Amino acid sequence: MVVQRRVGPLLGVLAAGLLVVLARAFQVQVLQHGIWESEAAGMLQSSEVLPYHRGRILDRAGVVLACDEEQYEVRLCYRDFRRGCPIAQVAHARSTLEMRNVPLAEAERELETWALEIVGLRPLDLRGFAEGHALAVGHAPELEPEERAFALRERRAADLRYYAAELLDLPPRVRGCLAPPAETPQTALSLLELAALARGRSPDVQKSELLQRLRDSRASLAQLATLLERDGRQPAGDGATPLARLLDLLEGERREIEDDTADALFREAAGFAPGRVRTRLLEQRFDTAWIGRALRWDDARRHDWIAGRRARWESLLAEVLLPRVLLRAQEEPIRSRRADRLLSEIALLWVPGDEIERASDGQPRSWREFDEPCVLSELDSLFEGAAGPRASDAARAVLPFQGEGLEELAQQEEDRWRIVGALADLARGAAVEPRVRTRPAGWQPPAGPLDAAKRWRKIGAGHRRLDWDDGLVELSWLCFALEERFQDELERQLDLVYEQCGANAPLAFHADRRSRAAEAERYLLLDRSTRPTPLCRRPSWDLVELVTRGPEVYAGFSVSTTSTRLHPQHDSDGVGLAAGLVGSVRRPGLSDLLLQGRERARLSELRNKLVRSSAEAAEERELAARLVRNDEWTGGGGVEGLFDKQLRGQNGFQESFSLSDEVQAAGAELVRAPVDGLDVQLTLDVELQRAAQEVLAHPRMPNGDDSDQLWCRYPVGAILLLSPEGDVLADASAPSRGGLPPTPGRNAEHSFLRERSLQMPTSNPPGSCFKAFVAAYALDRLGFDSARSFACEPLADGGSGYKTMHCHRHGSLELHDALVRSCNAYFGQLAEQAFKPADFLEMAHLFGFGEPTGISELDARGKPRLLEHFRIPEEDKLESELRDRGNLMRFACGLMPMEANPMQVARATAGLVTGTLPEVRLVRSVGGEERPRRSRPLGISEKSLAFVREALEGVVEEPHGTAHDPELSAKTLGFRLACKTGSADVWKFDPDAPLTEADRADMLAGKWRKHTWIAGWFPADAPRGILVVYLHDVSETASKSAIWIAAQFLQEPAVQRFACGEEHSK
Amino acid sequence: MRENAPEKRRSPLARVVSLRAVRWEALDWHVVLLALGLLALGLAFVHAMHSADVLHERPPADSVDFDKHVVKVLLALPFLVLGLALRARWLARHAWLVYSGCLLLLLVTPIVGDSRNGARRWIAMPGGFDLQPSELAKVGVILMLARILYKNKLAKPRDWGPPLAVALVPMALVARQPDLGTALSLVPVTLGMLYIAGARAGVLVRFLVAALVLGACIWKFQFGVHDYQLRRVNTWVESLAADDLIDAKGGAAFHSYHARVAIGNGGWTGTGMGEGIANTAAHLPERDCDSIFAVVAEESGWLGTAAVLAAYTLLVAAILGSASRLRDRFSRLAVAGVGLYFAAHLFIHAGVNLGLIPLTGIPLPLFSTGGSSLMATMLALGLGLGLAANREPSLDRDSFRA
Repeated sequence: MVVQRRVGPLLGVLAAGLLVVLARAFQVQVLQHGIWESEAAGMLQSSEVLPYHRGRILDRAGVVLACDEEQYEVRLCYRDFRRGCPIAQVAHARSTLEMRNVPLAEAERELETWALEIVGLRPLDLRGFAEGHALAVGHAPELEPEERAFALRERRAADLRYYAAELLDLPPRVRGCLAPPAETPQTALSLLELAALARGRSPDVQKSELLQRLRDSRASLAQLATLLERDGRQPAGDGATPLARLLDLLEGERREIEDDTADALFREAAGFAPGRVRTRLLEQRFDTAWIGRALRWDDARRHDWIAGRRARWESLLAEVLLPRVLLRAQEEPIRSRRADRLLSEIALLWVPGDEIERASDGQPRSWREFDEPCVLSELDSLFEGAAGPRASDAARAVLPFQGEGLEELAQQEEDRWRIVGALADLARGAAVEPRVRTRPAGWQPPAGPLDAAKRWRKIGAGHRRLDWDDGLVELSWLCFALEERFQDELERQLDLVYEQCGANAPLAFHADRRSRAAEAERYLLLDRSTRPTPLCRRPSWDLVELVTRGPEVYAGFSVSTTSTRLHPQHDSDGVGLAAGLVGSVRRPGLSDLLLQGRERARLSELRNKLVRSSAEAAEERELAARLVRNDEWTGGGGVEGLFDKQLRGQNGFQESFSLSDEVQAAGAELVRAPVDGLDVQLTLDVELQRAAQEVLAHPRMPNGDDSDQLWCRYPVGAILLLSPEGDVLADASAPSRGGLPPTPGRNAEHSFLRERSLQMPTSNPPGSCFKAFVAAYALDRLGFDSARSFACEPLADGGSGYKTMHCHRHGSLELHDALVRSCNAYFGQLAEQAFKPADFLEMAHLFGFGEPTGISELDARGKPRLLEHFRIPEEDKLESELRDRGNLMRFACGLMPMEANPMQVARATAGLVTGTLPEVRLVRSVGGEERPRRSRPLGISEKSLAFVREALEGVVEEPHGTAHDPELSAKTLGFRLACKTGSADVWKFDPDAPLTEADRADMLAGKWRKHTWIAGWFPADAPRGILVVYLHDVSETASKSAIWIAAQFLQEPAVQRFACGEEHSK
Repeated sequence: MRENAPEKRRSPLARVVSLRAVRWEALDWHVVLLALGLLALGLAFVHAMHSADVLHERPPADSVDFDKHVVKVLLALPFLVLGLALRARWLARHAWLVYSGCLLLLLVTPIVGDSRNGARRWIAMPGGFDLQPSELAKVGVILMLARILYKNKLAKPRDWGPPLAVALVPMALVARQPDLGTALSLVPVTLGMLYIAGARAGVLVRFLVAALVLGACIWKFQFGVHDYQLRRVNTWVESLAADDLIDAKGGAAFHSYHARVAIGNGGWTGTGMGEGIANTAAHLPERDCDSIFAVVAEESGWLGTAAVLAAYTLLVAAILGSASRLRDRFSRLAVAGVGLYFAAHLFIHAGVNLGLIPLTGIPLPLFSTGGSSLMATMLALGLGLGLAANREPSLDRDSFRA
């Protein structure tokens, strides 16, 4: 009974325990079932964004000018390479043994010897090594007892066993044979012998198999190296063979991974990045030997790592963090708060990493809440045995954000930029330079707070944007100055701590911190080394096949698909057709991602929120469709940029309830299919475009003193072909690449890539082409009599012409002849007698000068989104300028102050031909929907236009015509051309410039450098094409320059076919 | 009567083990059936794990090896027979031998044992088998406590010394390995056996409170324990609520989180064998050993969990009930110790998985894989059954008590 009474209460306790467990199980399994079920579902559920295809850009006949193409990319995963490639296995095994970074190249040289040494080790040796005894292989020394705790010998022995198993290619289930129990005879056998035993073969066979594997591996890697080099990857290092260069490249990857891992380990222990501390301090005050041991580095390698940290961090600050500060400040929608936002973003640069907080709308914590800066905030608990700096010293404000001065100023000042100015003033004293790519010449740090405030006020004055270039300079100086102060104080406090500890060696981190880092070490090593690195984009099929057919042979190398934007049409020099107009794409930049920052945060929140309502699920899909992916192409310029919204599609969304890393089609549920972008069809004709680009790339002029051969070697200009309705059929500019050498002795435009049909980087008078429009207007609107004649006679200075208008002594001319011969004297007198300044302005606008041509849509401010210089310079002052007789006459001849771009000239010529002024159209349709043509009546009578057209036909056909040349004759071309030439003197030759002989002779002859033009149409009787040829900075008139280029173009087979009415088809 | 027949001269071996000393008709067959039923259920769950691993093509390192587990079960079953066959009298006289053997093994483990993940708990044996001496030590402690308490009624304070020393020494050795979970599992066994031996409940409660206070002080002032052990307590405190646990899932609460997810996912009726998230996602660490309760709970639901817990508790109650009917004090204490062994493992294992107790690794006997645990479990079960069905009469005072 006594006993039963004793057992009874125990049974009671048992029952109570059962009830407690059941109750708890009920709570978790039944009451909280919903919560845990969702968590469980989340482990299975994965979602994938399905990328769309960006819309194509096509020519008028549907030829593809730009499209997405899936292409392969060869990538490297270093961890897999290290574990699977014998050279890497030997290198890392040897590193583990010798505790130094054994390069891959060295391992390759000693491959067989070292591999045999590794597999020749015995379990007995490894056990001894693990216990701290010496090992002959690798010269591992005998360790003192106190050294054994730090030497990681056990782990290293396990690693060696692992690499030996990999070298011997042992399957996992028999690897246990390499670790036989102690005191058994097997411990005295080598790993090679044990492997042979486990496989039931002789050691000699096992050894020859190993050696064969090593040979095969070397050969395979050499073959891969050759193909990689052939397919475009730039070799790293100075290796003599492709294999040596590949190993150098891989060694570089390894170095980067190890450096990154070391950074992460340091950060895990210290709470801040190693680069936040000056190199000297990092070297002398922080014990980083444990990092070296973890990564199997010797001291030299570790010092290398230390030496690079500060520079790397400063580079990150200059190139990433500071632009980001400026971008985020720019994001502030309320201008009056921009200064405070800037201050808060600057303060964040010194906030400890775990305290950086942002509100859901991206707003940072206010600079007023700045407490203690990073690094210093950790100092109290950073080192073993250190109590941290004395309280009075610790209370010293290091950065201006910590003091009360700035706070008080903020309470008093309405002008917030003055606070920024005060900050800048407080930062003064540090001798630093702003670290920016281009600094304004003569920049100096601000003289005081008012100067600084003034500069910042100006920077922040923009409506939507800050003044980027100036802002970056000022910000860079300010932040580097603050950083200098911070580093000085950090140094002082670290020295204090060092003195307190009475140490004579670098200080060890506190044990807790070291243990935290030790726990994270394995994960960090794994994380860094598994990130794939692209090695070769667009590999050849051989390379793809090589890598994919033998994944175990090429361990670590893999092929993945990626998308690229392809421009399949090129000219003979490999330049994309209409590259400038088609435009380019780019990956999303920092600003694109930051702009979507809030939505990205919301998407991330929804993804983590596994219990979602249907509205939230719909929102998730919507965001996934809308947000720019990191690898998504986005339009940078040209049509790609202009029509980016239409070319971009919408990402699809797929959810999967599968566990595999890649979504299995069978287990996946397509929630939303991707919607591809719309195709944009241009009005361009690819063959005509090719013809125009070829002519400009390889222009020909007859040899002789009268031709500008120098221009032919350094062509700068444009060829434009429009339809009479205003469709752009061809638009080519020269040069077609940037960075080319400038034309000797002339301006530097040959170095710049521009859309020259639309842009006027220098003065750009249209010259005598303008006379056709002047004539038409005079006939129609001013009632000018075409039969009226004016004289072109000798002048007192020895030339001929009229007053200041020089010409070629044409005698007395009527309007028709004046047009045919392009008489400046006639038009000067026409202007003087018939025109008032206001008439010229009206005439210019009538023909579309001084306004956008319509090639590009206009933005909110009425500017074309494609860069087009359309204004007549200082047009508001033009009327008063034209009161000057000389200006009036020059204007009539298309000289300064008149300026126009080739597209405007072409448009005006189209108006001349058809009687209606079209809006230039580049884009024919978007998504199959035709974009309407727009035009307006010119307002000039057909009679007047016909007169001018007839005269322009005479320019080519009549013997005195300025374009009368056999190359432009109907006999040569097969059709008749009507056109007006134009030459506009722009610059004198510079005698101090490196002139060619021909140019020097021209200079001595009194010639000027000029722009020359041809503006006309063909066939003359039934116009199909409006042609403008523009040559920039030539030494001869249009009659000896532009007409030959025009002739060359018109003789191109594609143009011939076009003139005959043959439509280009795919 | 057979049991009263004069003892024949026995061989030395027969003095130690003899199946003839077992009164088969008095064997607690219901305990045998319950235990074998639970073992079979455990095998079924492990087989389901293995099947899920094969289905998902997991590498061997991440898979549960059912074949190996069956081999271990088969190798452990003879220990059941051994436990049955060990003669009570020999055990009573030579419990110190078993205990000393266990202590010796615990002492040499730090010297010859294999180090894994910073702990040295296993001794590599021939044939690729790893012996975990701490498992056997539990049986050794039960036997030695039974021996010490056979005569010791704990009437005076000084009577407490020997039994406490018997328990504390192996506990300290196991805790140093470090294996705090196994060490702490000896606490309820010790306390329970002391109670059955005659200790006053009030005194035991005071001991328990003192131990809890000591534990709290150790946690607060952080001495004498490893960082990771303190972190486990902190994690447990910080993640008692579901939301807190979910927030901490990526860090130190990883194991607790996955165990709770698995259990909670079971609902009323469970997901079905092999179909739970614990097996399909395989994120739950030690799902075949220290976390097997979570798998059972998930796949059988609350109803199934309740049934398993009830069956297990019934097993414990049956063993304790057997103990209560024994006249021989040593056997009574030893059998009660075996019952307490199962109870301690059940409640600590379930408690850890349910988040009632800070995370510590302890297997669930008859379910978890692990050769040493199976061996110790079978041996303990055999001892419990065998001592309860023992033929040998006892002439101690207790035998004459009602």
